[in-house]
Formats: sequence, structure tokens, C-alpha cells
Amino acid sequence: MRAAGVLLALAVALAAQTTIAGLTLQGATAVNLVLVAVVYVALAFGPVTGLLAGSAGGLAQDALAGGIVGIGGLTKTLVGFLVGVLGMQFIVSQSLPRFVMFIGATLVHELIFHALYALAETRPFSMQYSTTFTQAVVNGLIGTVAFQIVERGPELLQRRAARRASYGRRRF
Amino acid sequence: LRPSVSTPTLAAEVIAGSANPGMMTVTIDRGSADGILADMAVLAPKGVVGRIVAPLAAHAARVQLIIDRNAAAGALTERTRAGGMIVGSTGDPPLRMELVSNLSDVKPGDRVIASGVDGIYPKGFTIGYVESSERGHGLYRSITVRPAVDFSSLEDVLVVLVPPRPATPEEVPATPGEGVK
Repeated sequence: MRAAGVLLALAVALAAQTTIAGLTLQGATAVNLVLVAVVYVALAFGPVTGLLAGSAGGLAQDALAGGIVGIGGLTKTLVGFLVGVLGMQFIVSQSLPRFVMFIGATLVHELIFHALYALAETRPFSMQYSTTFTQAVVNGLIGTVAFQIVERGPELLQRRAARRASYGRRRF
Repeated sequence: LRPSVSTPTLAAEVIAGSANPGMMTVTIDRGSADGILADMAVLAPKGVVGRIVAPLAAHAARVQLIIDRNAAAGALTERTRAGGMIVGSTGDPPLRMELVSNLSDVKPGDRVIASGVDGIYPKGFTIGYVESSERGHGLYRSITVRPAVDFSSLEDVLVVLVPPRPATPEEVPATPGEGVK
């Protein structure tokens, strides 16, 4: 059940990322939804699930986007595992620590990704810092909101249903 | 755009972007079933967009944009015909013109066009405009180029239906009957 949920989350993230990039290229560079899904899974389920989700999501992203297949996979595997370990060591049940975790994960991901590309292609390391920081903040916001929706969504729906039921009883 | 292009072309629509923010690619709704091959050039009304990259699907193909960091094209400046190579970068503007001699006359505002030497992009199509041109430390100038095409709102493109020119004579396919005695 958990595996199916993780795979579904990755598939939705990939589809959404491709759709956003098809609409606007600037929007595509401003967010990495697959990374958001990997960090979410790592924080929610731990380092092993994060590692496996990172590996699967990264490889799928590499295969669909072009470039060297495996670099994105390796990067997300490392990020998924690291976030999972940190999530078990520290209390990350509040929004702010989660936001910081998403930002940190994005920065580490971009650093490793560009460093691996520089190594593989024997070219100088180059990274556009403004784009990276923008992406980190946007990823952080989306990840934090996703946690809020998943954790508090069912509770809010239950409350709303209960309120409607009590309103109905009072009326009739 | 089509009447202004003398080579045979095929119109295509951009249907998806890249799954990875680090890779500048888009997917178009034409593929191998429409006669598209890898390394064919892709154009927009304002200039060069990129090239088709393998593998191709029957009704879809991936286009590597010229601003991708792995992309490159032979180029020259329209005013002084200074030749060089356009490469994608992660900076702003996202194109650099390399291998242009320090002795060449290249100024900001110069139009950069495809030189055709790469065998992929047809000669004469606009790539972009020089944004900065400074004397480099070595033999070559440091030139940045602003692309002519607005890649953030790419909708319809033309695929040039001319197979890419082989890079080496060994890659030239043998004509029928050649070598048969």
C-alpha cells in the first residue's frame, strides 16, 4: 500500500512537472516537483523509503528529460536518504522545520547534480544561484503546503461533514 | 514562417516540457512516423529553437533547446562574419559565443546567425543578439548572446526536414550499387 502510494506520488509529480514545463519554461525551472515528492516521502516514511523513492523518481526524470541517465537518480537517492536520516534525528513535525528541510534538500540536490555533471563532462562547475534559491523557496512552500493538506485535509473534511450533519439535525 | 523558409519543413506543436528542470528540452507532437529524424533542426518565427534528439516516438519527439547546457551550434555575426560556436549555459543570458578570436570585431547588438558548419542548423537563421563582448584572457573573446526566441512561451515550431549532414566521410551512406562488381 505504501509502495503504491509512493509510486503514485512520483508519477503525479512527474506528470505535473512536465505539464508546467510545457506551459512555461521559466515556471519549469522554478520548481522541481519530483524532488518535492522524494523529500516528502523521505520525511514521512524514513531513509530507506526516501532512498528508493529518490532512485525511482530520479531515474524516471533522467529517462524522460534526456541528458546522462543516472545522475539525477544518484542525486535524488542521496538526497532522499539524507533527508530520511535527518527526519529521524530531528523533530520535523512543524511547518518551519519542514520548510527548512525542503530548502536544504533543494540546495544540496542542485549542488550534487551540477557537481556530478561537471565531473562526468569534465567541465567547470557552474550553477545559477538565483534560480537555485528561487527553486528552493518554491519547493519549500509546495512541500509544506502538501504536508498540511495531507495531514489536516481529512480532519477538516470530517469537521465540515460533522458541522453539516449537526446543521441538518437542527433544521429538521 | 513557412513561406520564408526555402527548405522543406513540417509544422509541430509543443505538447510538453522537460521532466527535469536542469534539462532544457520540450516535446513536440511529431515523430518518426512523420518523417522526423534525430538531429533535424527546429525553428520558430524569430529564429533557431534547437534540434531533435533520439530516441524518437512514432508521434512525438524531444527537442533539445539551443539554451541547454549540452547544446551547441556553429555561428557567425551578421555584420562582420566573425565565426565561432554558440553554446548553451546556465547563466543569464543563456548563450555564449566561443572560439571567436580576440582580433574579431564583435559589438553588443550584433545579430548572431547560424553558420551551417555543424550540418544541423541551416545557414542564415537568427540565433540571437550579442549582449556583451569583451576581450578574453587567452586567444578568444568572451561573448554572451541573448537568444532571439522567447523560450518561455514556445507553442508552434517548424522542423526542417533535411537530414543532418554526416560529420565524417565514413558516415556517408553508400549509394545503391556502389562497391558491387
